[in-house]
Amino acid sequence: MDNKVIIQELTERFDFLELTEDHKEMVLLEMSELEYDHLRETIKMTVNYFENEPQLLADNSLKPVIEKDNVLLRIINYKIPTYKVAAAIVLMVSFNFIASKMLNNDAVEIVENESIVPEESSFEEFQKYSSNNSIKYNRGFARLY
Amino acid sequence: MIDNQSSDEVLVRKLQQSSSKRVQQQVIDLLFSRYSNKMLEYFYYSLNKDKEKSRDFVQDLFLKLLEKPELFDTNRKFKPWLYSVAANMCKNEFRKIGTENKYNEFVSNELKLVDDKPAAEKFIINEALSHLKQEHKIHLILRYKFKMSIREMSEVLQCPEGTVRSRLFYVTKELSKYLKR
Repeated sequence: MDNKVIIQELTERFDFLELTEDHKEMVLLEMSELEYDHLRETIKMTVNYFENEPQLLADNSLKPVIEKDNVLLRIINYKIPTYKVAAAIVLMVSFNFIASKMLNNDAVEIVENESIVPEESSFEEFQKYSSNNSIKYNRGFARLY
Repeated sequence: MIDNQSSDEVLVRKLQQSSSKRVQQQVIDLLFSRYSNKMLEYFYYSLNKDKEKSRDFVQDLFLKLLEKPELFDTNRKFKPWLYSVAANMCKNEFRKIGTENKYNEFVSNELKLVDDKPAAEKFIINEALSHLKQEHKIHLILRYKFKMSIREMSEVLQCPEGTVRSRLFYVTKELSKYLKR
């Protein structure tokens, strides 16, 4: 392991005088005793600085809030693509058109029978008077002659 | 129903899997209560003690967690992951605003008014810290403010433990240079 890595660990934990002879030797290869003490002092001051800083508190206004679903709003705000709207309109119009066509085909013309006066054709006239013994029917209400 | 004692990792997994808004809100409430203060402090010290920006960043961080919980790798520990996301947010911010330090002037002016010794020491450290590059300062914040182990730091900073230690050594040395002046 690199000496500097070990020295970093030592400076966090021990004063120079607390080091073992081996560690002292190793430290002195890299720096003077004074420099070691200065590093140690720097770490102590930094720790002290952070410990004495006032604690910051995050209030709840920073917390993300998930909005609850409002079904009505969701329906109102639902965005439908224009092509879907156009397709729906085309479908509705064509359905309406086809339906009306089919209704027209099925319709039965109402005829007011009462207003029709049956015309007697020459054939009927002939039938009427051809034989006195035959039973003759006129069109419309069955009438016996 | 969410158990208050559930681990962070279990909670985030619930957040990833559940489509119920009630469950999602409960998970966010719990994680917020566990980490919001620490994250606020982390941003505060990383972003040159800009309180408003720190608040915005905390809000963004939890919003990100709510909107994209799938970003969390379930094989990792949640705490270092959250700190690493926060660290990346700070890095992006440094890139955006540059490394200029508006804080220096404020500290220097305040220092002239201080007679009290502990307060003076605090300002000296403040000034020394403000000379450090942001990415270097993060090492000191994680180690001495949040008391993280070297292993945790290596997970947050995504580099080997040896690298973390040697960086800490150099950053401390640099800081001590400013304190000598």
